Amino acid sequence: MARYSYKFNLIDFWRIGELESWYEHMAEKGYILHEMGRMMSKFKKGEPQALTYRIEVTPKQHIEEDHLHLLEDSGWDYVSSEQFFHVFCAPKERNVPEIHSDPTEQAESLQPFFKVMKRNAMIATFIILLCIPLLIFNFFISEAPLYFFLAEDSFMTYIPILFFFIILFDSWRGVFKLKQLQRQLQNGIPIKHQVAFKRRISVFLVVLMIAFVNFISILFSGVEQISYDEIKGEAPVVRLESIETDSTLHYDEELVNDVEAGRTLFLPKVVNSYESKRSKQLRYEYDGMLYEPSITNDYYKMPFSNLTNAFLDSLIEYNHFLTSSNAYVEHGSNYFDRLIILEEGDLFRHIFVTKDEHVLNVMYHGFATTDELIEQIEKTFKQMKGMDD
Amino acid sequence: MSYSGGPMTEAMYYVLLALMRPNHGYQLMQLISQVSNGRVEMGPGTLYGVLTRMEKEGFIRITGNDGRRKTYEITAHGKLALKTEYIRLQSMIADSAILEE
Repeated sequence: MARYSYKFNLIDFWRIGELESWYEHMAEKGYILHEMGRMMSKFKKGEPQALTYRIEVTPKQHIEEDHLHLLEDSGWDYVSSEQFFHVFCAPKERNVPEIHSDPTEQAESLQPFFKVMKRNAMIATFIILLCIPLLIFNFFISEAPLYFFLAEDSFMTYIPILFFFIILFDSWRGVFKLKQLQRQLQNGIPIKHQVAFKRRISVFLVVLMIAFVNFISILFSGVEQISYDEIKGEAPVVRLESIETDSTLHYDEELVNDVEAGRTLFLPKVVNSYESKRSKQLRYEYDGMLYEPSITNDYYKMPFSNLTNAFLDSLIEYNHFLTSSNAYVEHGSNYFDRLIILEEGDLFRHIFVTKDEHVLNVMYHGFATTDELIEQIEKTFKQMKGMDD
Repeated sequence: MSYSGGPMTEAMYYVLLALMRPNHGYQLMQLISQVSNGRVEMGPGTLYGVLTRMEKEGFIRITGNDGRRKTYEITAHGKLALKTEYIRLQSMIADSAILEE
């Protein structure tokens, strides 16, 4: 019963000598190369053997029959192929002469493969160039980057671009290193086969780690529908009933009412609620329509309180767009760390408060006064678990 | 590095020489070693590279292909290049009389 073991290569394709050394080293430990892959190699567990490995590079992604048989007739055993690379081995005691006796000729044999590598690097570069305008927009034109980063996991949009940059860098590095190898061969210096190999954290692993972070954040982030009862005590949400006096206010199918709670990768808690009701008797003076107050609560919990001020500034900048106004005024407060108010006309109030790691943003449209609002906000804060009165 | 007249590499010269009679792969390697009295030991990878290149450039041609191996022989063009190189090398030896003193 053959036992197989898989190992990540962690050696760049252009480190031909190191790959050969690594396979030789593995054979010494009893792991005989069975198949070579792009990222991993498959080994057959057996007795330790003293084997020499050589990698032959071909102009096409397969080896010609006569090429293969010429090597075999010369005493080299065929092991495996991966695109342009073909692995051969021979027991050391067989004393098989080198596959390449002329380094200059070997440099020539690498040329078609080099051309393909260069072409791939060009394609990757072209794709990145297309992405540059998008990047410029994201970094220089978009506002409130911290808000998007913390509250909307905006880093996720950068991840595919990060991938591309890593692949681009790796592609060109491979091209340059291969050219270096070619030059070395052209100068008559053969590939160092006994070179000490180092299995490095390769590009592949970096990409894997980033994908993992991405996956984790998708798993944990997100908001779900929730009821007011469920968030009571967990988040400071101001209800209309606590500030409205009209007893005929009721919900209606036509009116938007929504509560969502969840988290993002960085913010342990996020709650967004929108509540609106309509009166049966009260009307607006200016147009006679039935009174319809509404309140938005956006609550954000910071992972630690040092982040609060920076986040608040970004949050205001973000909301700045929605209300397009400059008239945010900072007030002192006995209770809150920061209190910022915008009043527009008689009916619209936009209030930002922070305390420790809690940030709340309330938008209200209705007859209640600013003071009444602030009083209620303070009450809901105190009702939260863990808050001292 | 295509051949464009002028000095030939040693590998090319011996391959053309050996292919004055049709031959293939491994036997070719052994013949080259014999002809050069063991001085030129060509690796199979090197040989294959030289054969492919010279076939493309018309110095040799494929006369047989049984799937496993290709049999090559020299062409008129190849013979001419070989002769030219031979004469050049002879001249070099003749001019080096001073080394015989």
